Amino acid sequence: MGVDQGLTSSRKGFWWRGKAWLMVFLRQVSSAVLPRGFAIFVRPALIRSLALAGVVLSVLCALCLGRYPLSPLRVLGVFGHLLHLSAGVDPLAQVVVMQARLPRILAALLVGSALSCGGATYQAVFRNPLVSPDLLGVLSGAAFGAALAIVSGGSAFVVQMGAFGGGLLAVGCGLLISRTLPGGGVLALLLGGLIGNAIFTALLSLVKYLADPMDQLPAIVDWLLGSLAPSGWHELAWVSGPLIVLTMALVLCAPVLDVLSLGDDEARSLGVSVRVMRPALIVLATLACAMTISMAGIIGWIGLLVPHVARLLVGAEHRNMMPVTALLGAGGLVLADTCARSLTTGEVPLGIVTQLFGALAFVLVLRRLRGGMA
Amino acid sequence: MTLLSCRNLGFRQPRQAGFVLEDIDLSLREGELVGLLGLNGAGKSTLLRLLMGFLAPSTGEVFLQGRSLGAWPASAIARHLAYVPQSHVATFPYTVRRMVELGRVPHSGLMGRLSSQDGRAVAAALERMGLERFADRPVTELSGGERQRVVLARAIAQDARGLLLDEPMAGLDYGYQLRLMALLAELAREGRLVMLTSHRPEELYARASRVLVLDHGRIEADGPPQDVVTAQRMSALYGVPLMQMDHAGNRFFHQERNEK
Repeated sequence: MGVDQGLTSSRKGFWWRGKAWLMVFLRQVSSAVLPRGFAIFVRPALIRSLALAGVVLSVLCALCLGRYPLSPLRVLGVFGHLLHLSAGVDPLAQVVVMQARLPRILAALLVGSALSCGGATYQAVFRNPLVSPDLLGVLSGAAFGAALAIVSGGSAFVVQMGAFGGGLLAVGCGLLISRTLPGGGVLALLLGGLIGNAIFTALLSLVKYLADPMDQLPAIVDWLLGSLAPSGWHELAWVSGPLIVLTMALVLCAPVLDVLSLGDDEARSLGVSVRVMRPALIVLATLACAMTISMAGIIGWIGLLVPHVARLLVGAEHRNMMPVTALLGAGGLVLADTCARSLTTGEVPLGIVTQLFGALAFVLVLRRLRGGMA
Repeated sequence: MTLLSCRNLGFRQPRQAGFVLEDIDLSLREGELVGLLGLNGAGKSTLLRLLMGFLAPSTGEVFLQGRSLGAWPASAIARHLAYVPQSHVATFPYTVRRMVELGRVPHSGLMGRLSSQDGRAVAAALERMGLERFADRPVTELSGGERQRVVLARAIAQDARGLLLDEPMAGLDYGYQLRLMALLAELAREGRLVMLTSHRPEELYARASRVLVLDHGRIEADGPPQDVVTAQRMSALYGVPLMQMDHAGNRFFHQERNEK
């Protein structure tokens, strides 16, 4: 039909053609091994498996690469020794893998998947594919909380808690302000978030202005740039459980996101209580994002970009795209963190790496942006 | 049997003095095809949204099967009443099939998998709206009229006893406008309540079993189309002198011209 013809090759650049070929290939493979009609169900599962394999590969790369490169065999040897499969010990490799790299990689996996799923949730709930988790002020609030803790001379744990509390406080303020605005709905939430964001950005500026320029201000700037460097087993211990639960909850809530993204009246007409489900999902996503910030500082672009890539691969249906979003976010942040600690002799803050690569990758995604989709 | 009714229903926007709707008493029965006529801003959409429970009435109450709408759980209301909005804004590129499948959420539950019965209902709705060949296309690639058909298919898949449609013909091509009215008449004949707002009195005359005229927030006329859709009433409603012409069970209006 006309619409089909209108969308053929000329307008669809490299990305679309690449995806079209990939889809044809996947369809051929799936229809060759399964009866007709099953191919449509196979595609998301196949992409999920490929994404999982990608995560495993990125973890292996991250374990091997760094200022002290290790061969895959030496890395596997460390795990073999842990599982009592091999007798010999490689003490240096064991320290590098177990103390320096593994906790950091696990943190990247958790933070990446939580941020991506949080971003996808925000995009669906606010019915806007260009929204990221900082929409309601969680980032500015967390930055203010962390800066305040740094200025007060708090320990690393206090800074983490300050960031977490500040993030929640900012979102809470935004939600409260939105309740006082006429009309309600998504617009009131957006405006409430905008005001909350502005308040906490101003407070952050105030703290930076008052901070000691010799040591406190650099510490604040350093924290704001985001890094997984401080992530050790100790830091992972308290945050990993809640973060896994929150991310899994967001993935499980995927069908709700399909309905909420239709709009308030349509969601209500399908029997979904918008008044309950929307705040509940915002709270879940905000908690997840606040935890990631408390752990790694401000990591931009992951929450905005990764859901678009997942939609590109498996379509918009959240039941299919949320697991892929979690996997891509996890693998993507592991790779970004590996770049951050391996590209130079010193360490580039992770936030800078994700911002730079994220912005460039988003240009490619935007080429696919048609009618609000990616 | 009365499916949906309201008593002394009124609605006023917060912090505004005048009522958008006032003293609305209605009893809508299964098997009726009810057309709602009125000027832009007369409160037609507000009335539908009140009847669906999307808005809380300022006065009066809405009843579903004789029981206050507020006492029904949201999912149970969705199994009884389906709604088609004036326009659908497609934010994400769901496939047409997925959009129609969402109509089964009130039956399968939010987290539930679709049963074979749900699958049959989806396939039937796609076929009824002529969407089979679009089934795997993203809705964002469809035209406004095609999207409207998708939302209609979703409402049909919902398999509710009542179907409330807000200007469903807006954006549809002429052929689909005629097919839609025939389909709505068929749904009413199957025993459903179908209520739609429209700006096409001639179509309502031909197909509706009952026509309501909403003017200045009140029901000005309520009855069979032969009595309500008259040149005199339409002239008064729209402020344009109209003449009527009856032919083969249809009624046509044309503007009265004072040409010499």
